[in-house]
Amino acid sequence: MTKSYIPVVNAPIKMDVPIGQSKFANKSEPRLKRGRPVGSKDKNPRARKGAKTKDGPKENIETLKESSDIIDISVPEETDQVPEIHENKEISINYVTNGIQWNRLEINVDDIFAYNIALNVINDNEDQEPKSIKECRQSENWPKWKDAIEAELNSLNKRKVFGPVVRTPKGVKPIGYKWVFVRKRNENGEVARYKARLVAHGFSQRPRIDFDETYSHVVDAATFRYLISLIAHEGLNFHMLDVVTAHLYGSLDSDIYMKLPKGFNLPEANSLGSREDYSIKLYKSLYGLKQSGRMWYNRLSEYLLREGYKNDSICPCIFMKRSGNEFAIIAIYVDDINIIRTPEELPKAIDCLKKEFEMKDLGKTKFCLALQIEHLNGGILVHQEAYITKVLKRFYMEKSHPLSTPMVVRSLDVENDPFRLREEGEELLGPEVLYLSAIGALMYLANNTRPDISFSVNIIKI
Amino acid sequence: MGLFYLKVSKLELIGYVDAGYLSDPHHGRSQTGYLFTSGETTISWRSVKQTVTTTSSNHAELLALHETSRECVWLRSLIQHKQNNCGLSSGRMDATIIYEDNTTCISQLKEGYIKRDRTKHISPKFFFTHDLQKNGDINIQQIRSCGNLADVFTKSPPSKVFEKLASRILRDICLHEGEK
Repeated sequence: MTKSYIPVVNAPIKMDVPIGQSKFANKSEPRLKRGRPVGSKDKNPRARKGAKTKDGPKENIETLKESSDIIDISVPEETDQVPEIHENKEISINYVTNGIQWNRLEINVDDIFAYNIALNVINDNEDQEPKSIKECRQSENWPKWKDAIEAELNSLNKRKVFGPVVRTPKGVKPIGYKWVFVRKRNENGEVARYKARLVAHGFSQRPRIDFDETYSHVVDAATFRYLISLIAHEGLNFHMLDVVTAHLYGSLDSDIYMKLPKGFNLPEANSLGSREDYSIKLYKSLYGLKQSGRMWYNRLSEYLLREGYKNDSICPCIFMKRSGNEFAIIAIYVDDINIIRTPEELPKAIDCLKKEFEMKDLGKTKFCLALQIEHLNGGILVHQEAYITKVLKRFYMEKSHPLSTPMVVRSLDVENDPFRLREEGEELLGPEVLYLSAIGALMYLANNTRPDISFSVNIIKI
Repeated sequence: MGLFYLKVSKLELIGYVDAGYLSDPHHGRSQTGYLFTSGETTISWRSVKQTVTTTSSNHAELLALHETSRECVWLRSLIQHKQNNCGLSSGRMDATIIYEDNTTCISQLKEGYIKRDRTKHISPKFFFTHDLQKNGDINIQQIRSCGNLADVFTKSPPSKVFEKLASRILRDICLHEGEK
C-alpha cells in the first residue's frame, strides 16, 4: 500500500511489503517476545496503575490450583504483555515482604501516599509475621497462635458472620479468603497480643456487583488537634476505647458468598459434588471486604444517633451529646473511639457504647494514630518520637550525627538553581534509592506534629 | 519536640499567612504558607506551591490569603459547631484575626476589587477574603515579617530567625528525666 498522497519530499524512507509476503505476521509458531526466550515469564508483570505487587498474581495462581481438582487449569501464558522498562522505578521500603514497586512518574505524592508509607514504617518489624496456618504451626509460638485462631473463630460465630453453607448459585463467583497473623505491639514496641484474623479477598470483588460505596469517614488531623486544644483549655477527660472486631458488626448491603474455609464441613444431607461447588454466605462484613469500613461506620452512626447524639456534615465522624452543662464528644477513627467529656458524662457515654458493642477500655488516650499524647501538668503534648526513631532506623540514619543544616535556598537564576529540572544525560536514581518512601515518611511527620519541616519537605517532593 | 497544648484562658483562633514569590522559578510559581493557632498552639498549617503563575509578590500574597480564608472558614464552622453543641458558647464567633505582612494587600482587601493598572489581571474571585472581612468573619491585621509565623512555610530563613519562629510553633519539652 503506497500512500501516494504523502508528498515525496516529506515521506519517510521505507520499503513497502506487499500483503502476503510478510515474513513474521503470518507465522503461527510461537516466536520470541521482544528478545525473550519462549515461555519466559515477565519479571515485572504489568499492573494497571502505580503500584505493582509481586504476591498478587502469584496468589491467584495458587488459589486456582487449589480448586483445580477436577478441571486442570494450566497457568495462562502471558502473551500479550510487553515488558516494561521504567527508568523511574523505585522499590518500596518493605519490598522484601510486599514486593511493591512504584513508577516515580505515576505516583501521586499526596497525603494518602504519605499515610501509607507511614503505616509501612510503623508496622515494620524485624521479624516477619507468619503468612499461613502452616507457618504458624512451624513457629515456636504455635500454642499462642492457635489460641488466637480459636478466638477469632469464636468471635466470628458470636457475631453471626456466617450464614448457611450453600451450593454456589449460578453466576456467582465466591470470593477467596486468607488468614492474617499479627503480633500487636504496645507503644514501647513489645509484643502485647497475638492476633489472627480471617479476611476476605476484597480485591476479587467487582464494583457495582459486590459493592457500591466504600468511603468511610475518619477524623481530620486538624480536627483532632483542635479537640486536643479544647481538652487542654477546658480541662476535659480524654478516653480511648477499642472496639473488638469492629468490622464484624456491619451488616452487608449486598449478597456475598465466600469460598468455604478449611475446617468447615459440608452439610451432610447434600454431599453431592465436591467442596468447590459450595460456598458460605456472609451476613456481616468480614475484614478485607471493600465495604466493611463503611458498613461499620453506618452501623455505629445509626446507633449513636438513636441514642441522642448529634453529628454534622462538617465533620461526620464527630458525635456530640449535651445534657445541661455536661457533654461528651465521640471522635471515631474506624475502630478507635476517642471520648472527650466532662467528668460526669464519662460513665454514661462508655456504658452507652458498651451496651451495644464489645469494647476494650484503654483508659486515657496515650497513643492514637501514631501520635503520642502526653498528659503533662501544664497541658497536653503531642509528639511522634517513636515514629521518628522508626523512620531514622528504616532509612539507616539512626547513627548519624545531628547537624543543623538550613534548607538549600533556591536561586532565581534558572541555570544555577539546585532544584532545576532534569537535564539530558543526568543520571537517575536507581530503584534501590528509597527517595519516594523517604518523602512519604517525612510528609506524614510534617502533616502531623512538625510544621517546621513542612516547607523543606514541600520543596524536595517536587 | 512536639505541639504542646497549654491551659490558656481564652481559646482563640488566630491565623498567619505568607507567600514566597517565585519560589519555583522554572514554572513561575510561588509558595503559599499559612498557619492557624488555637489557644496559642498550632492546629492547622500548610506549605504548598501555588497552581497558577503570579506576576507580583502582591498577587502571590492575595492568592495565599484566598487559600487561608478557605481554611479559616472551615475551621470557624468546625469550632462554632463544637462549641454550640457542647454549650461552651453561643452565638457568633468573633472575627478571626489573620496576620499578613504585605501592607498593600491589606488595604486592597479593605477596599475590595478596584481595577488598576497593576491589578487589572487579578481575578476578582481572589477577593473572596474581602467579602469575609465585610461580613465580620475575619479581620486582617498587619504584622512585621519577623514575627510572622507563616514565614517558615514559604522560605528558608537564616537559622537564627528559623529557630526563633520554630520555637513559637513547636515546644521542646524534656520528657525523660536526666536527658537534656
